[in-house]
Amino acid sequence: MQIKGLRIIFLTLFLSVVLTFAGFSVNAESEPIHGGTLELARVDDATELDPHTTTAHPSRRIFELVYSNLIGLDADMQPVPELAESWDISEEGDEYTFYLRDDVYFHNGDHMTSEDVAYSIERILDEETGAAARSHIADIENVLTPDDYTIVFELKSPNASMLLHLADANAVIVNKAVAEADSLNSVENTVGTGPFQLSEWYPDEEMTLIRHADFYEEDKPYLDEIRFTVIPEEFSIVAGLRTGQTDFALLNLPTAALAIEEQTPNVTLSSELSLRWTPLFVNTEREPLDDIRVRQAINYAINREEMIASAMLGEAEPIGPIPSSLTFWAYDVSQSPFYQQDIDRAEELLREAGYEDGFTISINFMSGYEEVLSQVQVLQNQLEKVNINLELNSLERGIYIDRWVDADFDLSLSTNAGAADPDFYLFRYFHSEGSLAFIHGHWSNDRVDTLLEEGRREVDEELRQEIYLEAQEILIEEAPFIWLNAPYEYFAFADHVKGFTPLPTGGINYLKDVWLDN
Amino acid sequence: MSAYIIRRIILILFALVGVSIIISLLTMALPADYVDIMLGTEQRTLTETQIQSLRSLYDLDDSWFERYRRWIVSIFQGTMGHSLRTGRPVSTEILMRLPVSLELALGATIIGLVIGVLLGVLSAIYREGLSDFVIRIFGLTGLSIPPFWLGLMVILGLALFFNWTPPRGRAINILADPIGNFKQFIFPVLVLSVAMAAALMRISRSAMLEVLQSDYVRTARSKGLTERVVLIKHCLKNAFIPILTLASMQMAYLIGGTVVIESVFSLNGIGILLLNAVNTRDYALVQGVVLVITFFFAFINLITDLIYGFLDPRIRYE
Amino acid sequence: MSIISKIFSNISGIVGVTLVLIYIISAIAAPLVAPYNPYEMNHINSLRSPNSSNWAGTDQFGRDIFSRIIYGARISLFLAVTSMLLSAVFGGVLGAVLGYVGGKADLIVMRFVDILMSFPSLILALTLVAFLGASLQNIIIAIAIPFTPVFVRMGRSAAIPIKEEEYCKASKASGASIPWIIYHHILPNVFPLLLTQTTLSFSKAIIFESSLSFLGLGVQPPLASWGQMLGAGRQFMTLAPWIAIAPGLAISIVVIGINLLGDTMRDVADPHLQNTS
Repeated sequence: MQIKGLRIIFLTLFLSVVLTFAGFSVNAESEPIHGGTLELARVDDATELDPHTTTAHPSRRIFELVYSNLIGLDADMQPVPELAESWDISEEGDEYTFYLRDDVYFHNGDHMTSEDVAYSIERILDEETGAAARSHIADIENVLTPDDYTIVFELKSPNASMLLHLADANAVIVNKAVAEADSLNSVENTVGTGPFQLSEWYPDEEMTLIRHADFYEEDKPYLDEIRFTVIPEEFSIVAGLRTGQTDFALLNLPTAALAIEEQTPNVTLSSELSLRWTPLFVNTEREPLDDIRVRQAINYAINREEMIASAMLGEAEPIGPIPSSLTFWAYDVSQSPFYQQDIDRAEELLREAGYEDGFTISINFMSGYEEVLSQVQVLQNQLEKVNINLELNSLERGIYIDRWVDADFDLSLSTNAGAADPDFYLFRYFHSEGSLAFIHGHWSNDRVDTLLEEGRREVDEELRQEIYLEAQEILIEEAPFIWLNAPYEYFAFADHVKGFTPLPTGGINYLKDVWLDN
Repeated sequence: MSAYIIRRIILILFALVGVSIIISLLTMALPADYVDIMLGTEQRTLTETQIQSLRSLYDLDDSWFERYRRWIVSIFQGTMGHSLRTGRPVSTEILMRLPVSLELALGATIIGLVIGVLLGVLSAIYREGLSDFVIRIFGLTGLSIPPFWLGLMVILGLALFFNWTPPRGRAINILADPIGNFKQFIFPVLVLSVAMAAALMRISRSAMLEVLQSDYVRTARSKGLTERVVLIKHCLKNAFIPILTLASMQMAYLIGGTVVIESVFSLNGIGILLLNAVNTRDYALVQGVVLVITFFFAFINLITDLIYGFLDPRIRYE
Repeated sequence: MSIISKIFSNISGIVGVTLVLIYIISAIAAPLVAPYNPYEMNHINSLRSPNSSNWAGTDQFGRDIFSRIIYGARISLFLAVTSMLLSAVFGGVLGAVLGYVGGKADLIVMRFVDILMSFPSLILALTLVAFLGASLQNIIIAIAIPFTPVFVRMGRSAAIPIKEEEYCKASKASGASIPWIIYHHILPNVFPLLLTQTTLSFSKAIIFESSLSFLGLGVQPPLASWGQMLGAGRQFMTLAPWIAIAPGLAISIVVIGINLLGDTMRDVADPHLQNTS
């Protein structure tokens, strides 16, 4: 009897020990390891370091790691807490109250309070600063700090985009004392609250970020260091990934992405449909583009799938006025008749408009961008079929910008930055008072004006969605722009890099979750 | 002789001033300024006040004359102005990248000279023979392969067959870590030296042939000196002038002209610096880099001409 | 000369002439020689490696690369020849004149030449093309300008030694005018070196043009220059290497041919070399 009992006890003990160890080993595999340097390669270097004035993408990638926002965005582009633990929005939608964390420290040891937040927002709103995000949060009329960890924004009028704009990399919170004293465009004055700290920068060569020991998220970041290396040739970056010299890479070209997918087995390619968008900007002031039938004819002449397949090697998706990565807001263009290539219809429209013999227009684009050049060539080829002769103007960047800003073009093609909010893609271009509506001059649509105004104010998501869907439908039909496609954001990393979450913004914010398994 | 040198130096100074004025006006004339490029097409989402404020921040609302005057002053202060992007003195930006370009240029020139002259002389001596033909084909191939393509193939080949890529990021200091520096520079230097060697081979061959047939040498030969003495003493010395001219021109060209190789091998030299500076309209930086390149150019020419004069007494009094 | 050496020297000439003729004929008779329309896109056929119907494969738009090479011959030939001729004639003559005349004119003009030469040529060409627009004329000018100083220097350095030669001084003493002397004494001696330099520069011009196109500011599509094809093929190095290899090969072959021809011509033209044994 006793021996049997002993056996049972022994068996139980044995089993529990085994199970515990099994549990340990399961945990050990998914348990993040602290330490290590992440070798990150990318094509372009940061331009400048002031997070409020510098909008260049390579700089924003740094701001996302070194600074923090009031709120962040998750992989679905939904707001999540960052410096603010929680927030309230008044019923009318014109007052936002953020409750800040009390355990946030800047890289120089300063404790973050609502004063820093207030200062940062006011700095953005101050015209003297020249901040890029100003126009997005301009509805903020008053900034109040009832106590050290609470901040209140009083808006002129409700603005449904406010939360998402506050999550933007150019709306980060800076250190008041540092910013008041001196320019933020230097390594020493880049003092943020983000998971990593800027430690060294050799422009056009290397940038080193080190772990922020007092980061507010427990245990994170896991990495000791991230070393950004600038490698201007994407092909070279791929070679570096293959040989293990590079752990993580930010890539732009579909060919590089395909090279990794097909030829580099030890590297994972993560692609996210981007928030960026590639339209044909149309100057509706210029003949014959002032005629809606001509614009629609161009739409019908274009075969977007074909363009994507050859020019982008399949690495893009057709989009309407709002890119499909914003699944909740985007109009499903596969439903739109205007998006099916229809040469007959195109020719019919041109005949009606009196252009059956065709015409010549030119298209401006920036030189040095292979994807753009490819798309433009396909476009030229497709428009030829309806007798439209497209002249290609490859322009140096400064000249391209100059002409765009003066609306000195017939057509213009470039891939543009996006945002997580639908209003960003529409209001500034298509509302008659929009800051970029000069591109059209005479085009305007009262219904669209009304819809866009409502869309800005509407706090109810479902209603807002309806508003924007209707607006998009009208825009597709009126074709003040001709929307083509959205590319992918590419993140390539070695198999031993764990825990990364890619974002459609192209952001690497979630490097804070990354650890190295080697 | 020293009067000649002093005169040349004064002329170099004039050239530098001339170049700086011309380049300054040229970049000013380019459409779009630093702020335009920085803001891009989103410009109009900013208010006039915001844009004005940014322009003042970068001192862009001063007149050309004022900016140029300030820049001249800054040269004597040693900064040569400041980069609009990093805020650092232009001289610092240049000094950080100059060693890379110098190493590329010098390395390629030395290797190119050695290989090129050797092959060219051999080719001339064994003219019409099989080796001549082979060497000339090699030379021509070297000339016709676009360097950037060769560079890309080299990187691909190294990665594919040897699972190796050259160290990237910071340029490794040759004094601190000569082996690391070697690893970083050997392939770009070799790629650059191919074209250099091919060009020098051809000019060496051609110049040697000229000299081998000249009356001067025939006279020397008839005097009974041994073939070798004839060759070395008389031919090379005279043949060397066009060879030297070409080599020095090539090297001077390389100092500012390696943009594409720098890009392919991700080396941060002054070629890339200049290209980026022009693209972003970083005025003081453009002026500074062009000035430095011009200076090196004029300097190399002066040294060449002095050696020229040393080698050929006929030219000394020009 | 032994029979063997004669054969070899003739082979250079023969090979050179053959290659150049092929080049020129393809350029002129492109529509007859090219199997396909070089501009026609055929998306189903994209990125095919070289095969029996597409000898050099197809690019990402399904365009036949071999046909594009043939048509590209026209553009490359036209651009390189025109820009080099412009450079060589203008620069060589200027240099010869300066070398002979010497003095203050030489000093001042050479300083300007120095200034021009010291501008990083690619950046200069880029800026020119960016400013003026990427038309064929502008590209020719943009290529010719950076190459001119080389010819000036060559002409000058060849003219200076000649100046001191006895026959030259004799002509001058007997009252010959400067242009006469330059034309009859200087230029013939400068010519061989110039020729070598031109063939040298020709290949550099092609590569220079390809660098311009590489950076996006050269010949514009749908016109296909070999340089532009190289630039476009850059990103396809691992996926479809034939896109860049074909124009690279084409450039190499043509350059080899032109240089062989140039060498042979020079050997024939040089009076000193007639009497070798």
